[in-house]
Amino acid sequence: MPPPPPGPSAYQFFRHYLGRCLRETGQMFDRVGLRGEAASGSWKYNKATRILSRSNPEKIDPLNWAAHQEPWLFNSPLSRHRNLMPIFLAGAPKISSDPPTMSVVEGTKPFIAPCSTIVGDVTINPGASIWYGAVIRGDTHIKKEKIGLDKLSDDEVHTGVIIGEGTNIQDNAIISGCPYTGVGVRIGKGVTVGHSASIIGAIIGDNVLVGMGSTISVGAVIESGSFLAAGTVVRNGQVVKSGELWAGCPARKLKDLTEKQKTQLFYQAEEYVKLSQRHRHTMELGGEEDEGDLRMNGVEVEGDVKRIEGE
Amino acid sequence: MQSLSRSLLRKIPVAPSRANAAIRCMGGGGVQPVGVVPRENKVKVGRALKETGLAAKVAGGEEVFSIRRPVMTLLDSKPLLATDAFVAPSATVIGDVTLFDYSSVWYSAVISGDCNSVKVGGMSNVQDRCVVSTVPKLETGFPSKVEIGNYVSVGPGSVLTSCTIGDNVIVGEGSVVGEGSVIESLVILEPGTVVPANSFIPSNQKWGGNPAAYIEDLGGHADEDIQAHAKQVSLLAEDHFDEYLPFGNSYKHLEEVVEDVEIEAEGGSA
Repeated sequence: MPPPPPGPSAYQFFRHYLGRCLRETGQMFDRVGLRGEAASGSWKYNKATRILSRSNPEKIDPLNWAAHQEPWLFNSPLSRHRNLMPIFLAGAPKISSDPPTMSVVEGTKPFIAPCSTIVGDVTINPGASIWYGAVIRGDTHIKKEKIGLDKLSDDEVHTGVIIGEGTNIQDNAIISGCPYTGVGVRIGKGVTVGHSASIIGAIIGDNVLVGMGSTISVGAVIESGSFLAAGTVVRNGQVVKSGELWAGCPARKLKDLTEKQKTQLFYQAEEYVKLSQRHRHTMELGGEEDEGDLRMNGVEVEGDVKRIEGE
Repeated sequence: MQSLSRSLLRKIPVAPSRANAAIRCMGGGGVQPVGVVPRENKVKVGRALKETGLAAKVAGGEEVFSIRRPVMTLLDSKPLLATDAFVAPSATVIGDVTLFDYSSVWYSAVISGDCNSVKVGGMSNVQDRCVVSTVPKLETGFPSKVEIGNYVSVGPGSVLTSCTIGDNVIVGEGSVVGEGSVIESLVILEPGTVVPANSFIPSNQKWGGNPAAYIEDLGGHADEDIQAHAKQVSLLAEDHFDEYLPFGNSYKHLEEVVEDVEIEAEGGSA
């Protein structure tokens, strides 16, 4: 386990908050400017259409946005959602550039759906996929003295989230550090986290299948090659051993997995790597088409990529 | 959002990959292997598709952007937020909702005060992907509003409908609290608890399971722990709050995009 990253320095603090002051002040002037422009005359208000505009309000095309510019335009109706968002104290999300060890993820980049939310210290390894609506938060910072964790070693205490290579975090799943203790999440290679599952401050090994709607609470450990059925609720500090099938609320062991079932665990993750690459290719409008993409799309690449470009 | 506007702002055709897929669907491409289309054709088809789409958009008045707002007025009921309440940009707060000081609504959560009012107390938090909603009418005859007290932590993925929750409560992740339920002060619900409709959970107890069952009495320092938990979450919310300026800057972006689209539309018609 790498040691937790050091917090921002005094200089960074100063720069951050000075920058913020300047930005807020600038924005304030901008708002004053917009209102001043409206007050300077030539603005007319149409009661029927509730539109304040520069031109003749009777002739406004309601479909034309630019025609009804108004002094309260700064209350912008557009979404301020950000896909990848840094938190000053916790750090920024990063795409890992470590060489992959799984053959299926070679030459791939992680797929991150545009409407997912990835906040703070989150590391995403190659071939991982974050699907639509998923929330991954590595925003916690540990205060050992506050929560009595000072007896634990650095290996046991970690912040942030690491998503292993070839792992898929499916739609609407939540991965988050524990807000209270600050303990982060570690997810190994080739893990499938089902739709709407939530994982809070837990450690998950390699080739695990977490069923749809499962809940894994703080301090739980899911060992490599295990299977959680849909809707399992793993409580604080429970340990799921390798090669076991668990289910229910609260979670309990149902049986051991057979060899065939164990191979099926990573089969799904591999399929998801391929599927995610197709999504990534489609979502990036006009995005680059590298060799890996084309291969994933069933295009044969014969050494020379220029041929594909038709030149 | 970013990729959409980026593609809108782009002068060159934006959808070679779409065109590629379209041609593949149509079985086009002639003698060439499937999916391999000369660049010129891709550019032409992409341009044609884009211009058609643009024309359709302008003519039909379709929205170019997602106009989803985190805080939304519903008819005459407007959410009332304390100045230091944090509402995540992907969360949705609709209608008659009151968020008290230092409360926080996290990513993808939905609080809809459409049928009746919702109150979230001070230092309380409604975490990721929670749904807090109201039903039109309760069979018990009590008002169908949601009242969440102070220092309440509602864990990720929980669903609360028309229930009353006292002060100092932890609702574990993935819990469901049915309509008309009353949870008194100083209660901990385990993760995955399902509280059936019209049930009552008394003070100083820990409940869990589906359906919810009594587990144990809480110890002497439970209230301090629960309050510390809520405070910790509100500190985190402050970090997130700091990342956003009081107003968005997207209107400037929108002005640029609209100008760009207009220029292209005029150029296309001329």
